[in-house]
Amino acid sequence: MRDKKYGLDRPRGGYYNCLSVVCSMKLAGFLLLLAGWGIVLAAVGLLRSGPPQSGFVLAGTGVEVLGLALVVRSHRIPRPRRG
Amino acid sequence: MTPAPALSESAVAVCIFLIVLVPFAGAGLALINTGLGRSRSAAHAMAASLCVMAVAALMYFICGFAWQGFAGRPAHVVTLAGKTWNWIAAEPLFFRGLKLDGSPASLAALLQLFGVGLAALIPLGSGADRWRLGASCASAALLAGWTYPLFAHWVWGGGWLAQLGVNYGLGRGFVDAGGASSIQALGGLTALSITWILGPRRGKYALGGMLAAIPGHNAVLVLFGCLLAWVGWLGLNSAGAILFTGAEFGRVVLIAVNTTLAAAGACLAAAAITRIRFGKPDASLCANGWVSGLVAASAACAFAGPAEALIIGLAAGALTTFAVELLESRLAVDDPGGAVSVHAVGGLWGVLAAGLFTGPNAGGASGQWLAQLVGIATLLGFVLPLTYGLNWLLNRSYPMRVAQEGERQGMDLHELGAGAYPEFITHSEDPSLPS
Repeated sequence: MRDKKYGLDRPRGGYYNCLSVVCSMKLAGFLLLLAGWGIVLAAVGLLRSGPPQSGFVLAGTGVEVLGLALVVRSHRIPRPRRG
Repeated sequence: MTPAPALSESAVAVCIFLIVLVPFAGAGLALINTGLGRSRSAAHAMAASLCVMAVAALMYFICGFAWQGFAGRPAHVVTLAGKTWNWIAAEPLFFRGLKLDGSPASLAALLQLFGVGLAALIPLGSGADRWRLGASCASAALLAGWTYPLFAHWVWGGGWLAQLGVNYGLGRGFVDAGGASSIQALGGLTALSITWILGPRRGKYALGGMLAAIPGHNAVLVLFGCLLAWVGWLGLNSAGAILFTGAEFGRVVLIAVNTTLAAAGACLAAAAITRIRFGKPDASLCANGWVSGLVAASAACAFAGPAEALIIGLAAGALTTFAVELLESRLAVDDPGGAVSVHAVGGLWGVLAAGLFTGPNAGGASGQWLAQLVGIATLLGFVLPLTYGLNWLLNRSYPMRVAQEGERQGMDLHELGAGAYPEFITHSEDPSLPS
């Protein structure tokens, strides 16, 4: 089975059956990115300067990193198997 | 950030001189992108660079400046919990209302006209050999007309990021003198989006599970591009620091020293790492390292000391070298020009470093790192989804990737009808031969 876009020999099934999973991962990743930014904005706007504010900003950034990891993973091209 | 006060005539002349150096950075990036691509797409890469810069300048003139504005000029403000959040400028379209007379706002508009072109050039490196000319121009229009002005307003136009210091006591607010965030990281994140949307070049990941090395076709172009970029960055960082952070003219010396030391450190770090790992220094990674040093130095160039700039550069060179390998081999991001590693990773590092290494000149260490972190969170949490979403929608209505035949034939022949090197057709590039 040959993928038209990338010219890769793909194992039958695998990639195409997972399209919905990939899309969900991508969507979830972007939503996490936005949610993390929302946490950061809320921390800046609602909390006074100090450890709680820093903690929430760091937590929001952490949520963004998780979102980025999901988005990156959803865009990984499955490698053709050897042999 | 403090807007620059009215400038004397000699100061305006110096500022204009610094600003007209900025197109050299664009020329450098265009040469780097071209040299790191395939020979059969070289003319296309240079033509795309020119077209993209033209589109970016036009869009910035039409609506970009209207939404970016300048500190102290009209803007839309929202008040939350008694604090003002400045979201977007409220200037008229087509530069109306802006007197092009050497005022700080007009000089900033001129600098941005070049800066937006620089940001639009960055994604070309990641989409090399497969990104259609029309689609790259349309993407540049989105970047220059919407993404860039909005974020640049927050950083340089007196927006909420710049006011984090005044409103919330976070250091001096988000600090970025030369555009590590608003030009470089924004361009780098757009490059990442483009790479994801386009997918890898045909044959890149096809050899039995091993990735194929597709080396750049002209290392001389790449390395000469680095030298041109150096000149451009000296102007960009100096003019940006004067206009957007209110740095005195005497600081231009410090800025030039910092910019050069960061680039030198990054280049040498990349050379040493590749020498240790692969036995010989890698020319393209040294070039990427050099540019990543320039990128990383941009944010803190007016505030950090020379030793700190060198450390920023050394770290940028090391980060870029490892990021190139990680993205290509582990994350399947086919980025021929290294735009994501150099501009996104280098830019984000530079922004963070500005918080970690800036001294009392930047308002002291208290809260500055937090302001920088809020800026990074905004780039990742807002700019990346925005630029990805816009380009994804564009791709749905106007497919970005060239047809299979065009990729096999080469972008030069397929899109322009003539190659960059007509007398040097090699066996593998001969379109009459089977691929």
